[in-house]
Amino acid sequence: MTVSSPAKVKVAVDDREYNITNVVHNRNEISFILNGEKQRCYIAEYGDDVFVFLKGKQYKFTKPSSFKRKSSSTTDGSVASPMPGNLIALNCVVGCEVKEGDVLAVVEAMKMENPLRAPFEGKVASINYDVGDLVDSGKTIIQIEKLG
Amino acid sequence: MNIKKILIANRGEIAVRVIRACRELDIVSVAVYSDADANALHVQLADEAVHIGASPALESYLSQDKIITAAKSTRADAIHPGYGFLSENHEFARRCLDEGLIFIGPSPESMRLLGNKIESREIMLEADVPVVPGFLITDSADEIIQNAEEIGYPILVKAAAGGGGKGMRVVNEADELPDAIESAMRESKSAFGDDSVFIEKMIQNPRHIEFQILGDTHGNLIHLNERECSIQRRHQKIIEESPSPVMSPSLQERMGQAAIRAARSADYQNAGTVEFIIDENENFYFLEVNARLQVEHPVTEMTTGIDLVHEQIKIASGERLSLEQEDVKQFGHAIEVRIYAEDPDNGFLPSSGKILFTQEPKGPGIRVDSGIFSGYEVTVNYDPILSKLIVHAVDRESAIMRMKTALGDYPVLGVKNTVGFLYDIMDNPAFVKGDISTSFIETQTQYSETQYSKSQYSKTQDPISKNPSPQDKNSLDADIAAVCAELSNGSNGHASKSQDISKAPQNTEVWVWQMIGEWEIGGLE
Repeated sequence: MTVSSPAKVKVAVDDREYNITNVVHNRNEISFILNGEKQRCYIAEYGDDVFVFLKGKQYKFTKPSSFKRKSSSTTDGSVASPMPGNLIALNCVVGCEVKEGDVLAVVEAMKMENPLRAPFEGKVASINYDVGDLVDSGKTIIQIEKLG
Repeated sequence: MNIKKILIANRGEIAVRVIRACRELDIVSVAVYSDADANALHVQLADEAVHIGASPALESYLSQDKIITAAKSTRADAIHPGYGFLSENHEFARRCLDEGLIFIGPSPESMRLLGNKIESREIMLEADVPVVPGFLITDSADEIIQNAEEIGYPILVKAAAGGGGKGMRVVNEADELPDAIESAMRESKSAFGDDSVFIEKMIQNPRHIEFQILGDTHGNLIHLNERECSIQRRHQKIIEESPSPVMSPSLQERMGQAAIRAARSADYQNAGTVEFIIDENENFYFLEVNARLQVEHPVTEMTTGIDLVHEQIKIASGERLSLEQEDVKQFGHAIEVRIYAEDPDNGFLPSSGKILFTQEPKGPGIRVDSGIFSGYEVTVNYDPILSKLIVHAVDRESAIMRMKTALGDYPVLGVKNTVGFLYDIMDNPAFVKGDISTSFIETQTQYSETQYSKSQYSKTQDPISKNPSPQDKNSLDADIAAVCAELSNGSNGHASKSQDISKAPQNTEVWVWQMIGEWEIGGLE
């Protein structure tokens, strides 16, 4: 499918407006002219996500409605793996007192080990996985709570 | 030729590479695959394919029994091991021979010798090949700690059976040593099935330069010049080139002869690579011999015109080398970059997911060795390499321009990968000057091998970008990308929707795009 539009199109990005012309959309390729310069991108969609490749870089956009703010481990004390993998070591038990930066667990994927560290000093409140479990990225493996 | 059918005991881009060579030589190819790879490219392209087990490598690509059985049942004459997996396992090579199969690689005894870092060091010393000072090994962790003090920090902890940086740790002070040893042993056990480790004095900011060698079964041995592989992350190469920007004819002669002495000392046959590190004063030290085809072999193929997989197969079938040392020429400059499913903004951690769309760049001097396609699912089971992009041009400057252009036209959408990172490197003034070392990524770029992102904000302030106003440039590109995303939505099944967009911003249907960097960091939903 090729969609070609000779009309002027106005697109808003945040509070900025762009006037573009000569939009050509052919499957995974889009080109248009912005400020007299031709732009060529590749795109792919997956659910609410749109992936764009422009000048060597990949961008990911998510519809605001489906974009949930992820919690930050430095504030709420959840220790999660940034990648899916195997939990190969757990260095603490519930009730352990830990210092900031202590390695609490190790997740391995593709033969690479990734240590998961305590975000702040505190006590291990809960552990949700056992050694040998497959863990998803972003799932809380260990919950830390502040002392006192 | 006595080889009519080859089983390729590997997967991904290298299996595809070997299948292509088989076709050219009119040899029947047999692929093997695990559950995870049922739809993989190598399975699609091979003449025959055998399912060998579950997704974990130990139950499939590392299972000697299953691979031997597959070779016997398909009546293959030979096994090509590729790189990784069983490629440097001398016991597997021995088993192939015992089963009447040709192993396309060196003899089991050469592999055993070279795979053992202690023995290989000794034979290199005997052959007058310089080795890294301060080497030491012992089975007791206590002794290692004691001897590390004598050598002096920083030191490297390495897996004796290792390679490719697996099981390797940098240790700056004694406190870190016990953890480093334990984790190196664990990683080595899981990657190689052997947990012995050794330590070595760390040469600061070295270059990594290696020589390709070819030896036949009649005692002829030549080298095919060098590859510079200094740009690494996690001690694994990510950009390789030939010739090296620092190579001179006299250094090439000295290192090339040392490489041949190293290979001859182990009675080396077939294709192999002698790796060296070299300091700022052109002192070079033997690192190891990779007794197999290397990931970066294409840069040698592009600059010498020699097809290394063809040569491997011919040597394995008993043919003499068709070249002598003086026949080896070097044309122009070649660069290879590795496209990994990794997140350069997050310490190069592996990523997984579906490749929604990819399209290979085309043009003169461009080669893509790939194992992926649109719709391909990247799993966490194996090494995260997706494909390799190789360019060849008249000189280094032209090759860098060609690589940058090709990377800019190589979308791999849906999975975090190294394309954007590599694109940045092609613009990096230190890289362009050839001023590189193994610590290049940490010292000369905004990327980090270990840290969780220097974030898109520090990236826009990148002091090394040659663009006069990188801040404006990067945010404009992000906006242009957002415009594309908007347009794609507009024409998704409703061509007229793009007209609606012209009513923006009054039209509430128009999304307000969240600018969340090049990627939503960490990929957490």
